[in-house]
Amino acid sequence: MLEVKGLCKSFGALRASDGIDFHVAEGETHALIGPNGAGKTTFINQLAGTLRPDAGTIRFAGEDITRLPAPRRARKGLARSFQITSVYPGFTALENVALAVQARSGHSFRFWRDARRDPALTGPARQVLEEVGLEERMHVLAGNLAHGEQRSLEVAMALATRPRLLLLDEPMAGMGADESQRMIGLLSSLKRRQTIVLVEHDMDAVFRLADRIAVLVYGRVIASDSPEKIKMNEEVRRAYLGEGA
Amino acid sequence: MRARLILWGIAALLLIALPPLATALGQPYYVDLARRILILAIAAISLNLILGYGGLVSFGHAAYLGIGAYAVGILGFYGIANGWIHLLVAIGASALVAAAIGAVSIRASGIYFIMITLAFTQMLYYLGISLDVYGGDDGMRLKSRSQFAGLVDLRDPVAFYYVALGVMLLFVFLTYRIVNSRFGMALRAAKSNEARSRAIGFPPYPYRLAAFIIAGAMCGVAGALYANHTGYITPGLMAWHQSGEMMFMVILGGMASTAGPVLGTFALLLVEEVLKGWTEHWQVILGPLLVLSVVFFRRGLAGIFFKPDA
Ligand SMILES: Nc1ncnc2c1ncn2[C@@H]1O[C@H](COP(=O)(O)OP(=O)(O)OP(=O)(O)O)[C@@H](O)[C@H]1O
Ligand SMILES: [Mg+2]
Repeated sequence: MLEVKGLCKSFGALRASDGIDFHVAEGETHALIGPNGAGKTTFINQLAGTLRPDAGTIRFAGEDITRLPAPRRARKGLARSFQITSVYPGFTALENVALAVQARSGHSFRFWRDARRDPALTGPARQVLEEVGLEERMHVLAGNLAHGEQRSLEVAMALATRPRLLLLDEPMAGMGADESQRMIGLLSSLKRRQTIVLVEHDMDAVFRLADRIAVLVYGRVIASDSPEKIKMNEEVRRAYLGEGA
Repeated sequence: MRARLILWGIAALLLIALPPLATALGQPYYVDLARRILILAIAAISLNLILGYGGLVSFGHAAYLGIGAYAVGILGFYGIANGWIHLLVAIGASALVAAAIGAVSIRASGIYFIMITLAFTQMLYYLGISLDVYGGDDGMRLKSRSQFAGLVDLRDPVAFYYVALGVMLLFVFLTYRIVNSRFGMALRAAKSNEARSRAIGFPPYPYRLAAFIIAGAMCGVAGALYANHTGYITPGLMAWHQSGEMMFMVILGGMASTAGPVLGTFALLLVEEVLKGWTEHWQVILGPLLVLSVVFFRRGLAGIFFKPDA
């Protein structure tokens, strides 16, 4: 489904992506872990099209998308959530998700009908909000939602585009324990029918959800394997799990 | 929602009642003044579409006021008096120029966008000055008003007033539909959070460009009406302070609100009118007054009545 080869990105002298090879198979949940500043978000940004790589190729569903702008990638089925919450604060939760539904429903050069009363948009949007547990908050402005709720909304918006590949950049960051559990529940319910790349610091979540785990350190993938093998890997323990696990 | 409709109904009734009232009071001048305000309100409504809802700070919107006016003046100059042709050309020419300016400016961001729109409009202003056939710097008197045979005679000040009122209300309604449609939501979303829009698959550029063209075309209509209102065209219509004043009407009234540009235009021009009656140094008073109003009404005058839209 996704094939990344030799991806490089430097910020000045800093090599944030240093020849990354990365493969995701259809249906799997592929976790990407690594210490702070390892280059995980930079990598996700290149997959989503927000950042141009200096070198390397990204193939998605058999097509080279390395130079495709972000909106085109989104319409090909690549959706992402942001590590730093990025929603439409002045719109309600329902409107936020309905916009994501709208984005995947063909062009928006429709000037007359009231989009907010269009069941073709609000219907699927409500469904997704139920799925992430925000149905009771759907008429609240996104900017007035609690932090954890905004994180869920992030994921809801990505889901609402019906992606073929879901890129989640630390969806649990800053969530309370209950909310985290709920998010883990949601993601495991998505397993198999949704291909996911999951960047996450919460090791409990990663080991529960991931089919495969890649470990990124200083812009390099130092290991990529099944969760069991990653747990045993000496290099990984030293570089990353050392303190935590 | 219902409260808004009632307020709009009351406002419309007051405006409909204005000409007979002015006549009864022996003040026909008020019809003239109100007509001018209504026409400029149309211009402000069109600017609000891109400035308020689109987040595009265009400092060159007077260009389309000028283009609409020149369309009427130039066609009349060559003996074409048919009002429908005037409107068609005003709309078409404004849309074309907006497409060209928009295509160049919209990809630029922030201050560059402001400067590019301003520069293009200044260019048109100087073009107007250099066109000696059409009066150059001094401008030119219209040979005749736009003619809508059998329908309405724009030489009749009251009939013209109702035309202006009708067009303004129509544009309020049109804009309302547009900003709440899928197109409008895509436009407003890009203003609210461009990165998010890109990530879900909305490229901001085509929607912004389309809005820019629609706004230009709408303002072209205002320009055509304005030429008929004054019976005169002048490059001064495209001067930068015209653009500035339009922006002020929108900001004062309340950006991204349906009523904002209308309220802002009425407030600004009425206060201007009152001050002019008091002193010839009215601008010295108007300036600080405007600053205060923006400080106190963050959401514009419309914010007093309504919760603003996103
Ligand atoms: N736009 C940028 N310009 C310059 N340096 C950047 C930029 N974006 C990221 N960096 C740097 O690149 C490195 C990788 O950053 P990145 O955000 O990808 O790390 P991360 O793995 O997502 O970290 P975290 O776990 O804290 O989210 C960091 O050292 C960061 O400071
Ligand atoms: Mg990160």
